[in-house]
Amino acid sequence: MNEIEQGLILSGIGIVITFSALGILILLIVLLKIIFPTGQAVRKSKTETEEIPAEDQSTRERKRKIAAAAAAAALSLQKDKTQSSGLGQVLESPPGNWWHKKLDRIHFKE
Amino acid sequence: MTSKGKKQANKDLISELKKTRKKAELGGGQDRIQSQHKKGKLTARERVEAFFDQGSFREIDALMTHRQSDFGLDEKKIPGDSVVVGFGKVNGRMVAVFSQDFTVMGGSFSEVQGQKVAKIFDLALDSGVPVVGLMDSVGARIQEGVYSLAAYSELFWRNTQASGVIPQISVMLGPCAGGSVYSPGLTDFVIMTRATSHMFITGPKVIKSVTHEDVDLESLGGATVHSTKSGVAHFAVDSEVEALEITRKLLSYLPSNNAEPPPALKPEDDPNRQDQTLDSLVPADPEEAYDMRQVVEKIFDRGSFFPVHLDFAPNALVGFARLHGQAVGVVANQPNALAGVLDINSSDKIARFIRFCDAYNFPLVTFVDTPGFLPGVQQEHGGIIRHGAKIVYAYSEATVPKIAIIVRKAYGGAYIVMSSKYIRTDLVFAWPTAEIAVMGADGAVDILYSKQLKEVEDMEEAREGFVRDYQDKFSKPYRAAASGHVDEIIIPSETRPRLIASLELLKNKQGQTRSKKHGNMPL
Repeated sequence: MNEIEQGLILSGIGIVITFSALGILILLIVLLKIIFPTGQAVRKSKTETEEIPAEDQSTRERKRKIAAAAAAAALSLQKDKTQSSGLGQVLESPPGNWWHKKLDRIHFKE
Repeated sequence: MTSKGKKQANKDLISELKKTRKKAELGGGQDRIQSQHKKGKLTARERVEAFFDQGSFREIDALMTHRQSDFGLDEKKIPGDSVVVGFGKVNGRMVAVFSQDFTVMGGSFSEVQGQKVAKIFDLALDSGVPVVGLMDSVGARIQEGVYSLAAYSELFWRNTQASGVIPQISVMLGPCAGGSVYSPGLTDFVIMTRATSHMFITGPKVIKSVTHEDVDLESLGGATVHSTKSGVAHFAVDSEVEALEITRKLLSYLPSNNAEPPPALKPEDDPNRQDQTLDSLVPADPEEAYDMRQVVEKIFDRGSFFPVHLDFAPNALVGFARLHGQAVGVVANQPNALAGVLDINSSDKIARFIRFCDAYNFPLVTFVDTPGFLPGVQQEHGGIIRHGAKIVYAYSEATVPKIAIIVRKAYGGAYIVMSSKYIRTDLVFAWPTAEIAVMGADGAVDILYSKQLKEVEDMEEAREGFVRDYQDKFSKPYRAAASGHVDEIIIPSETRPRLIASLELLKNKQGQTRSKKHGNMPL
């Protein structure tokens, strides 16, 4: 067996091992999804099979409104923090280089 | 020499120095010091100690003596001669000082005094620190003749060289007569004490002999006269301590030199504060007066407004104030005095203040409410054209941030000169009460409708109608805003946050100045 043949065989083995491992991983993910379904999937299957009582519906609506209000409040608070005008903040530090250039021009009459 | 002997020799040397220092500290002697105290005046050193932060004063040239021998001067050699010079800290910032010592030959300006003052001036100029002169002198030292005059000239030359580079303040605490008055006259600010300080070129006796006018010292050159009539003094106070206090306060607004921005304080007032009383402060009736100082005080940081030249030309208001801790120069018309008209004195007052602010990097905030220039033969013959032109010149020349607020009347030429958009004011705001027109409605109708008014039956009714039409057009700022002559119409209570935001925008402004030796200001 020459060196080229040996190299080709080793590459082939490597590819087989890689793809086999990938296949096993995908299989594992699918299995886990079947065993532990997500909340959305559970709700979907429930709505498909059961009628929700009217009482539950109003509670859910109220909860939804509370959640929306809380989200709006949180957003507003965050906005206050990140988008406040910070009026006067610029004046609290000395002027920048742009300003000093002006002085140079006056002093040295460029 | 043994080690013990060397130590003793050093001790003797130090003891000798201490004795000489003690002699210098006494100036003209204990009797003269008492005489100074009896007049209600402090000595040169006491003034310096009271002026600087405690223990920060460092004297130089304390042992210099004169070299003259004429008129018995060789027997009157006092270490330090007639002036105390040095430097120290005021509110933690370095300041140079020369304090004339009246106890030594009346504080007369000798060759040595000139050399000492020149030295501290040169040091201050090289280091970029303000110079304060505590003046109390009879004038030139007659015994020294031309040496004394030459020394004065050196001071005047330095005053001029330092102008616009380092702030200069003259605190007048005694007499200042003849040629010596030109030094304070050349400085940026003059502070005078009532009753004890006087300034004049020629005294009452000379005036009596030349013009036969009878005048006393106080009426001729007292603090009240100079702070109200001549405008030579920017501040008049009752005591020396007050004069030194006001100097310290003034320095707290000023940068140390022209390359620094004015010192900013930690802001304590809310930048968003909107004083609702501003919305009703300007009277609806354009003929009614109000106090512009109230407007200024409600807008700027609380308690920060520091008026300058308050009693001179009271129809204009100028001074320093702070906006969010940042020092700015404030210029305003004062409707409470002469309806806020511009006359010769107010033009000089405004122009000089603008030039100071521009030289030392103070942004300018202008409040406009003026019916125009004061009419009259006296004003015209006094050169109101020349003096009024100074305001245009100063505003046009200034490259610092310029913001104007048209509060009420802005008529004719006075509108143009008071920081209008056309002389490169960066932002012009108007309150809803602003009236921007060539002249008031009544005067304009008389000119515009003179022919129609003669032809109508009921002249008064027609006239009223024309006045209303004119007012609709020009007594509101919307026409000016629509054409961009005003950048924005703002609610009065919004002025503070508006100004702060505008200053933030203009903080790093680069003004355009053409290369030239210097302009030719209409002096």
